Amino acid sequence: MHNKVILLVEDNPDDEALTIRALKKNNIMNKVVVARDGAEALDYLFGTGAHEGRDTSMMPQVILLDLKLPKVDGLQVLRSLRGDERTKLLPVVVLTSSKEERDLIESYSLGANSYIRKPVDFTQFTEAIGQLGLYWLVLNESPPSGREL
Amino acid sequence: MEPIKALNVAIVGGGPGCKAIMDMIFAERLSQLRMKLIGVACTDPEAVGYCYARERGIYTTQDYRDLYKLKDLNLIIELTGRDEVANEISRTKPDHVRFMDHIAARLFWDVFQIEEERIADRQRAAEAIRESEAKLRLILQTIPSGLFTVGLNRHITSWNKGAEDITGLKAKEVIGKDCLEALDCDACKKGCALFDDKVDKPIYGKECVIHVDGRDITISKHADVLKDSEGNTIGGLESFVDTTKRKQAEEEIRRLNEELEQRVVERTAQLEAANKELTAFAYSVSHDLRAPLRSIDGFSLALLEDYHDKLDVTGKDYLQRVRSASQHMGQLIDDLLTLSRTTRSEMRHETVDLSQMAQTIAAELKQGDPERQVAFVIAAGLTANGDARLLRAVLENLLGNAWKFTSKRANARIEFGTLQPSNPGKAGQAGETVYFVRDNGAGFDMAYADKLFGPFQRLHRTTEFPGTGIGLATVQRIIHRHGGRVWAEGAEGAGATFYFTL
Repeated sequence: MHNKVILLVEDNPDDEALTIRALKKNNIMNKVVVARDGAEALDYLFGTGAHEGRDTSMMPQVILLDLKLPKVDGLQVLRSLRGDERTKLLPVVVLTSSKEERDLIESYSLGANSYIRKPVDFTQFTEAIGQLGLYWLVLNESPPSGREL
Repeated sequence: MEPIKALNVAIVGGGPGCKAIMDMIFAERLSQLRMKLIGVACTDPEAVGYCYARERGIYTTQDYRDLYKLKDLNLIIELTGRDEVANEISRTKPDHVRFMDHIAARLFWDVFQIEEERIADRQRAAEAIRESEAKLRLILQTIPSGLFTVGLNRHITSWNKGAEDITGLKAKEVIGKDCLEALDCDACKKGCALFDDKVDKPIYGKECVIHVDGRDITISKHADVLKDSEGNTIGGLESFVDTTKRKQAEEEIRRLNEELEQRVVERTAQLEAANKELTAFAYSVSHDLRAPLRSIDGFSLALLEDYHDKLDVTGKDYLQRVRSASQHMGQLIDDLLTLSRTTRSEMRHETVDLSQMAQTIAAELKQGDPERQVAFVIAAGLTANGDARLLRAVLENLLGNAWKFTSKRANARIEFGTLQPSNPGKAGQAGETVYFVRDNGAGFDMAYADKLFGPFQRLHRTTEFPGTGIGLATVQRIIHRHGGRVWAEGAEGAGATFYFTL
């Protein structure tokens, strides 16, 4: 399982560091690829722009997606992923500060697999990441990769 | 037939009948007959007719034969009622003198009476007409409505005081004038409906604007044609009231309503804009204010964990304080967002089972802290009409507070119920349901009761009982949005009771 990457879409370097730390605390040793905005995330996933030539048969095990992002926001990223054959089945966990109901409803209606609100208390955050890792990286059977479809 | 000339009359007999005939003669009411009484004869000089004649200076005698000598005597009327006297006079009177016996006189008298009554009737009828006319004139002059009549040529024939008062035009100025000119009415000038056969009569409540001396007067008028006894139209009658003030008031009301509507539209737009801004603000608060707090808390924890051995006890304590402060602020932000959401969110009204809701919340509280022994006493079957989500927030806050403030009590007891209608408490009004949440916890000083519901107001130190001071502010807002009231009673160390109505 460790060979599969986790794509973390996060513009805040603090949250990035803390998320990576929380993953490590939970012994999730997968490589973490960080995209700092929505456009970069889409480039990575579809092998375009800065990620031109990337082997797109290798899709991340799970995408941790922040909603509030520069350029292309998280919901837009989600919409693009779900609209493309190659990525429409990828597990996406929305990780956000927002507790707004409309964000939650929209995320799920666009096909998010989970929705985790980042708590201020880092201990709780670590616990949430731990449960998330356990579910999406260990228990969940990931869909066949794009090339085999 | 030639009219009978004036007759000189003498009467024989001096009783009451004689007097009556005399009156008749004196009154000169006998239309074709002019009579002059020149003598009266009666054997009894005390008889009423006899005396009456004497008083009037008419020749009197006790022997009727004396009458025969009267110069120019034309007629003798016998009123003794005795046939032998009548026969005697008839036989003895001079030939040129005519004679009427008591029977003929009686007949004559009856005819006269009928004539008298007819005259009296005619007089009474004329009197009644005069009275009714006077009454009508009085009515016309005293009613506040304007009233005038016109002839077929539309010239004004009468003009009452009401019309003078409303228009300021005196009767003598307008009588004889064409009413179209006198009143200068816009509608009438376009076409007078009064004598237009195509327009049904009477005309009711027609509104017109007339122009008099530079003033515009709005009148509401009724009009009808006047007809003679044979049904020919002989003129018209119009009555009117001044509706200028009413019209102005109506206009003012309409204008104010329009203005109000416009203002409501503007305010609504402003409110919507403000609400949108507030929503955007809350959204950004929920995102942007929390992110740095997460960093503060997260990296403090990282320090505590990774640099454990490099920090002494004080250093660790400081970091712990940083963490709890950032967590507290996180809680504050969450509570503030909840508070703002309670005013922003749309209300959905439904029947809510408050008892069931309270049971669930109590179970959650117990689950969160299984060590504690708290007796919940929740009345069954309490329902309310309101927004389920918001009412849940109310009960969560009130029961949560009760839970929190009884934490230092051995036999904690929390009650949820309603006051009996017969005993509605100090602020409860008849007929309304007053709900309450009562605890036997730390309570509060009633002197600060008014501060309880203000945002960020706390009556206890955070070290004693944690909290942000926003819960009761949220409760109050929700209750107010439901059109209810909320208040509290308590004493320090003796528990608190929160009452609310919906």
